[in-house]
Amino acid sequence: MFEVLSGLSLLLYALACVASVAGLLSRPGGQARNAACVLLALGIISLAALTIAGRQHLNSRAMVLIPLTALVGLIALAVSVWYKQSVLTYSIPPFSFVIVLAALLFSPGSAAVGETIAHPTLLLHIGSIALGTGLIGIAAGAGVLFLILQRNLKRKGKPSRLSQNIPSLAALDKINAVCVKLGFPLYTLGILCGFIWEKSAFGSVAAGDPKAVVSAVILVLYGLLFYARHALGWQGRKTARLAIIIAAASLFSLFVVNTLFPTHHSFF
Amino acid sequence: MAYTIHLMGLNHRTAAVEVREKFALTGFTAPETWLFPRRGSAACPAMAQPGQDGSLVEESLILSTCNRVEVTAVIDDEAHPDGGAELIRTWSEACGRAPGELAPYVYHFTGREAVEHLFNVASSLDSLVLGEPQILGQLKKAYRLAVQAGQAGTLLNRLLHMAFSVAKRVRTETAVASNAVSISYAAVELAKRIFDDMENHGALLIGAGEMAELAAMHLKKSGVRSMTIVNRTRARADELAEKIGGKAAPFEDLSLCLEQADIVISSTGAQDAIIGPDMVKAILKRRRNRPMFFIDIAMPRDIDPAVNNFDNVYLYDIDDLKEVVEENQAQRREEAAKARAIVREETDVFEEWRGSLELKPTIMDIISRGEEFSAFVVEKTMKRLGTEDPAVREALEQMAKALMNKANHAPLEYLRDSYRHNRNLSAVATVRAALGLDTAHRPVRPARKRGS
Repeated sequence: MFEVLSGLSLLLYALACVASVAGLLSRPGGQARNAACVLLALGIISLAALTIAGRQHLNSRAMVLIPLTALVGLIALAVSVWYKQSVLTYSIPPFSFVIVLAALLFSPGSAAVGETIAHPTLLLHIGSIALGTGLIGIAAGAGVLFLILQRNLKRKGKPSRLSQNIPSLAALDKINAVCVKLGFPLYTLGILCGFIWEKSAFGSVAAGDPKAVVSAVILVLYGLLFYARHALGWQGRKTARLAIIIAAASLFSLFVVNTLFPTHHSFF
Repeated sequence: MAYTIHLMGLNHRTAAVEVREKFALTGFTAPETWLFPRRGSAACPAMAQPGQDGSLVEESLILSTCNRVEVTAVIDDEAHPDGGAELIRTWSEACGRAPGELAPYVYHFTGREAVEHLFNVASSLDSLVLGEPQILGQLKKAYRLAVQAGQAGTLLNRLLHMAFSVAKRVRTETAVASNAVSISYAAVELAKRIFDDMENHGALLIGAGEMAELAAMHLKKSGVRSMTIVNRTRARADELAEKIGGKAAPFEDLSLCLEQADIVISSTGAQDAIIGPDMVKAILKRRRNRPMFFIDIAMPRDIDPAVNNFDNVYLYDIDDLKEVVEENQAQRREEAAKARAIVREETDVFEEWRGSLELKPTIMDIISRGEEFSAFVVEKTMKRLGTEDPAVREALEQMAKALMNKANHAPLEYLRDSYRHNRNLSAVATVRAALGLDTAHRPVRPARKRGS
């Protein structure tokens, strides 16, 4: 069952990637666009099934990454439907495919989810961080599209097929704004829960832990973006770039810091 | 009878506007004044009299627009071998001119070429501005008038419905109609790429030039929330504001108006830039960086090009817009090749249908001959068996029908295949002769076996 669900999830995301590329390069109204959305939806369902049915085969990292990937896809689909901008969902399948593949490859065939990970504060920590990271990922996706279109408009060059398919700058900026508005409080809550759990589990807070340091940097950048948007009135290119930087830092934290640095999060 | 579709007309390529207006047919499209009344139609009382079947056309459609005047007519070529010349004569005389004045400018297509041309027209591939949408509406109107006048029959109904679906297919599958090809419309299209919904954005017109007015009209149509006009001559600003449904403001309030506007169209006659980077920087701060789109169509330019360097500010001058339009036109030309391939494909489909229409009488003859033969054989067999049992009759009828279907299959397929591949009706004569369809026949008596 685990192998079937893993293979099915990867296959669906791979097909969604192909449909996404075709959708981005096709004219509006093309079937590739609908196909990408349907395949992504099926991929999300498949990942949810994998999380539930195959959890005894997944280690704790995969147990976070796989539902997180499904969640991000779900949020992206919801945002796309809400703003009637299906193009946003096209940026999700390629990243999701890589993350699911990495999670499955680095997931040994034994369960590693201990009792500690089931602690409510830790679950809230992981859940909030996952949502906050997912939302900044979507903001970054919208940011990439914003920068492509903005560059095209500023340079007054011939619009590529890709830039013709991108929604308006205002729509992309609105997606960034909503994601930051929701994501920053969630991420902050996640960090606070992490400290509370660490204190209760280890008796102290390891301030020098590399993961904690990187997370604090991300939190500061996230806070800066939140503040700049709502207090200073930043919008457009600056916020798009900052969202991309934060998303990149989150990926660095998730893959590089957890793997290469000795940290309390090494179990994860 | 051999019905052929004729299409003749003049357009912006073959005739100057002076010629086109002389031969416009807008006055001949009402049911009572229809220029080419069909056989027995009420459009022309003289022709409607029984026995007066001299009408030239069986069906007709008149398309008369500013860029083209076209007549599509279904004519019986056997009855009217010179139908094209007769059409020209009727047309020119209706316009009070001699046929010689019209003939040099007219193009005349028949059969497949006529169908392909009509599909090209419907898809806007023959228009002055490639891909423009108006022609399809004009063609639909022309068809509606033909239907109201009772001038559209089997062929034209099918032809026009197919023309509309071809036009739709061309618009869906190619980009021949996408992207603006006029400067004012290009400006509006660019604005839509910056702003999400035009309903929440206001526009400001600085100066009241003709081009700015045109762009303002397009913006208004696209649904901008408000339109403000600022001009050095207040009276002109008031006049334009009334015309486009906006409001006028004094020129001294320019800075305040800029703060409130998201789209700015400038076209004053000022010799120096009236909007510079310092001014825009201050305005952006007051607007909390909300995006602004400047369209500078003045010559010399009204807005300093350095303004484009600010984040959230987009500036397009007249040359930029011209470039956009030229690129869009080039893209439409590229797409037209794909569109023409679709038109050719659909013309094949129509021609196949038209062919099947001509095959229909022969197909019906083959089937009814088979049915007669079956009935004859069933009757004979019932007599020979000496029974009137309905069950036996039913069984025999089913068997006879199955046999005839089998026997008819080969000639029917031969007819259809022959038309599909050769695009002519030569096989019809062969099949009719081979099956004796044109001779008064009595169902053949089955041959007796020797010795029976």
